[in-house]
Amino acid sequence: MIKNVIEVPVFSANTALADAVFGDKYSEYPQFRFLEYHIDDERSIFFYLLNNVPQVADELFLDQIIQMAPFSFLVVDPLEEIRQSATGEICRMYFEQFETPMFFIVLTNDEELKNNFENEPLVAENNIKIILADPEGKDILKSVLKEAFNQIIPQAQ
Amino acid sequence: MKEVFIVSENEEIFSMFTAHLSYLPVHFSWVGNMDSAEKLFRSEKPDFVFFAVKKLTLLNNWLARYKSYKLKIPYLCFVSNVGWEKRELLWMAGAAEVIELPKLKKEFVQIVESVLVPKNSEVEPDFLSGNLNIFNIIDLIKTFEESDRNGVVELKSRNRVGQLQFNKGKLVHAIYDSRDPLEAVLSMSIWNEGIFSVKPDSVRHSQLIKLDNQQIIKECQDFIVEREKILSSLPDNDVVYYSAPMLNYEELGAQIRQNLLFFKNGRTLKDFLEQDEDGSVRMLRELKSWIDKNWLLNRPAFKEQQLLMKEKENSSAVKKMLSKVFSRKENENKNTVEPVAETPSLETELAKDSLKKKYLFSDYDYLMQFADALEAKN
Repeated sequence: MIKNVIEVPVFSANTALADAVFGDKYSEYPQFRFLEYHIDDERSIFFYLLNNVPQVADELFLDQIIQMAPFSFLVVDPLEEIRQSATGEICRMYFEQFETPMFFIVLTNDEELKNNFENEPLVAENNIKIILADPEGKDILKSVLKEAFNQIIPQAQ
Repeated sequence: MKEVFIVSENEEIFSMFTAHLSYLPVHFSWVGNMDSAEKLFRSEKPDFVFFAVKKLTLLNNWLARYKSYKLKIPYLCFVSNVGWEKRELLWMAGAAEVIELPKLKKEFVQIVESVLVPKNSEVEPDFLSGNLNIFNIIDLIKTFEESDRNGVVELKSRNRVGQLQFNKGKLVHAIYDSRDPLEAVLSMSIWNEGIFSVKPDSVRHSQLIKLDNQQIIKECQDFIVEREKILSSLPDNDVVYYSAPMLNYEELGAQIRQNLLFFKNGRTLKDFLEQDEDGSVRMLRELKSWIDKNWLLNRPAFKEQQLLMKEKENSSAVKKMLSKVFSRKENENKNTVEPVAETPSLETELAKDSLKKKYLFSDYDYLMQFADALEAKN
């Protein structure tokens, strides 16, 4: 049975951090890691986990996935200074190439950190939305997705 | 000094220890996976064993094998996504601590420190050991000279290990990597973090360094000054640099090519200096020359070269012909018509926008179905 699928690119400069949100049950390919999040019998979300923004010709199909995706995720270390970090670099390269909206997933409950991120020029200029994920949460991915859907759907309607 | 074996398939985890816990009086050794660890356990007995593995099933397998060796060495488990019940099982199986990865840097340091340095027992360096950020190689040479004794100084900084050997207070030999003795002293003279321990002995060490202590100290000081001079002439260490896309890499030597390719996806000078921690003065000079020669570019310059390359690729032979025809016409009209000047920055901006890939998703009803299904998911 063919499922209904949404494809979502996920960027992260730190693989271990991405694993904390998405788990480690993925399939590994040369340019990305793939993970299916099963919602029900008819629906799944396909995540493409990447450490870099696609740049070379053999990654071009990922370009198309990003263009067609409802949004992208970037998993961020709550204490990093994104201006100077590899995460900031991913972010800059992404918005030089793509218009697809992006959410930062920050593994923390600290609301103050959310404000700090929102005040970052890189975040404000590119209209990036911040989603805080409870590191001790039961189904982190579910809560992150719910918030992403909530934020993206009203914007469009 | 405590010896800790890190059993992990992944070197990244080992780097976490060496990067954040180098100040502890502990020597971390990455021993690879359980197969290679097993061979080492036959000949060496560390004080602690850390197992770092993502999958719990693999961890259980490794622990079963480890227990079969009956070593009685305490061990810690680093594993991702382990629930409370499974954690309890690991504790019951004898793990001193179970740590879920990834941890924030601070948290990670605190946990490991609490295991390796038990509470209420402060690590007091005795008079024969200390920290390199307080007492560097030059201080050690001076101290030995005053003491007029024979002995060996072991140095550990990050994941580097070196040794100095003294005869009657004179530095006669140094070992680091496979460098020649004087070069080894110079490389270690810039270690300003890590620890040293002094072992006085009565061995007569072979004299491989001919210079006397004062000359060696002078060499070290000159080396440090020259190195600092070049470092301060380099641009901000946090700026991200890229290897120039228009450079003909085939014309460069293999070593230069390899070093430049380090910057392929954008890296800071700090990253480069960290991976080449003992960066010789020659290497630093080369790094500076690459920036001066525009072989390494900052982000705006890199983007500009990329755009130029793309434009070059896009302009087909037909376009070239057309542009020739028009440029000829323009030249003919040059005396009568004033050309409209367009600023290069505007051109670049337009080119940038046209290169941006559009956001093509629009089916929000479809997305709504997913949102509803997700809400209903248990």
